[in-house]
Amino acid sequence: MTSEYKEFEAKSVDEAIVAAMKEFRVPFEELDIKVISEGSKGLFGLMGQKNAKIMARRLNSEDEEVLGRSNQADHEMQGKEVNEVNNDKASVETSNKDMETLLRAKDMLTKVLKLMHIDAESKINVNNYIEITGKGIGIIIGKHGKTLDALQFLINRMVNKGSENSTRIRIDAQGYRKRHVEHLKTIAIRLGQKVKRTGKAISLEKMNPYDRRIIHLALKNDSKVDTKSIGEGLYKSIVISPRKASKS
Amino acid sequence: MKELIEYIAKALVDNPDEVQVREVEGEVTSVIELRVAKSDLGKVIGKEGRTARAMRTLLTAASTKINKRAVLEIIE
Repeated sequence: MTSEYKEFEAKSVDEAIVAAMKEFRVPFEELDIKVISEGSKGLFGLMGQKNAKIMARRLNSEDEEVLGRSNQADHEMQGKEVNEVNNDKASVETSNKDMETLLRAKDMLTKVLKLMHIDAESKINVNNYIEITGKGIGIIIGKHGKTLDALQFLINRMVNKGSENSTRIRIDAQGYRKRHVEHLKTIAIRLGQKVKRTGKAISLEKMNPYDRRIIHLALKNDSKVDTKSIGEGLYKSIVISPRKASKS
Repeated sequence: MKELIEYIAKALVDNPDEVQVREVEGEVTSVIELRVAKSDLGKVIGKEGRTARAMRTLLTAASTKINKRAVLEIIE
């Protein structure tokens, strides 16, 4: 059974999530989290400090199944195939050089985690990405995966320093990314349907290129909507709009 | 915290010997000062400050864990 929502308060959202994970004794991905207040550090850390507040409850596996089933029903209703966006399929061959880079990246990551005093382990997964597991996982992921992205970015920079063709290192923490991809796909499909129903364009919040790609791909085969990235810089927002009849 | 930045910075630059990190500790907030060779400045800052931002994100996450705050300053 899914548990009731419970409130958690801590100095930061991350800490509150960690507290929730401890309370329910489940990993991050089995929690349904709502951020009530992000808290503030106050002026120079002296005055006006406000704690972060979240509501969290435990999800059970049955709920996820129900969710998955309804998704499938939605897809069938639309009578189209949704592209498999999940690129976790292992590349057939990994060259020795790539393997060597991967091992170096893993060592660097282990060292960085240790220096951050985080209780976690990293291992190379069969699909050639590095998976972090352990108690300190909430802190490693961060809000919207921000810390995990920073970690992946830095490790890539560090490991590919001075080499001409760089090997891309992917880092995940207890299946967070996979879960995140599923979540984005669900959102994309749902919003695509809303656009078709209302005939009005919808603008999404700003996202990084990888997340945007998932949204674009999820709606690529839908002949009734268009997706477009709007804005400047790394973070852009996607606008989903109804496709003009003349175009198709 | 000092060791974390030192390790990352040394892995990023061409002249690791010239990496200097100093930690000025306060009660709650400590300031981490990072100095690198002039030619390596771009390596620790990155395109549109992306590398520096990523280091600050990790620093924040690590210091949150020990109920502290840390700021990274890159000294030219």
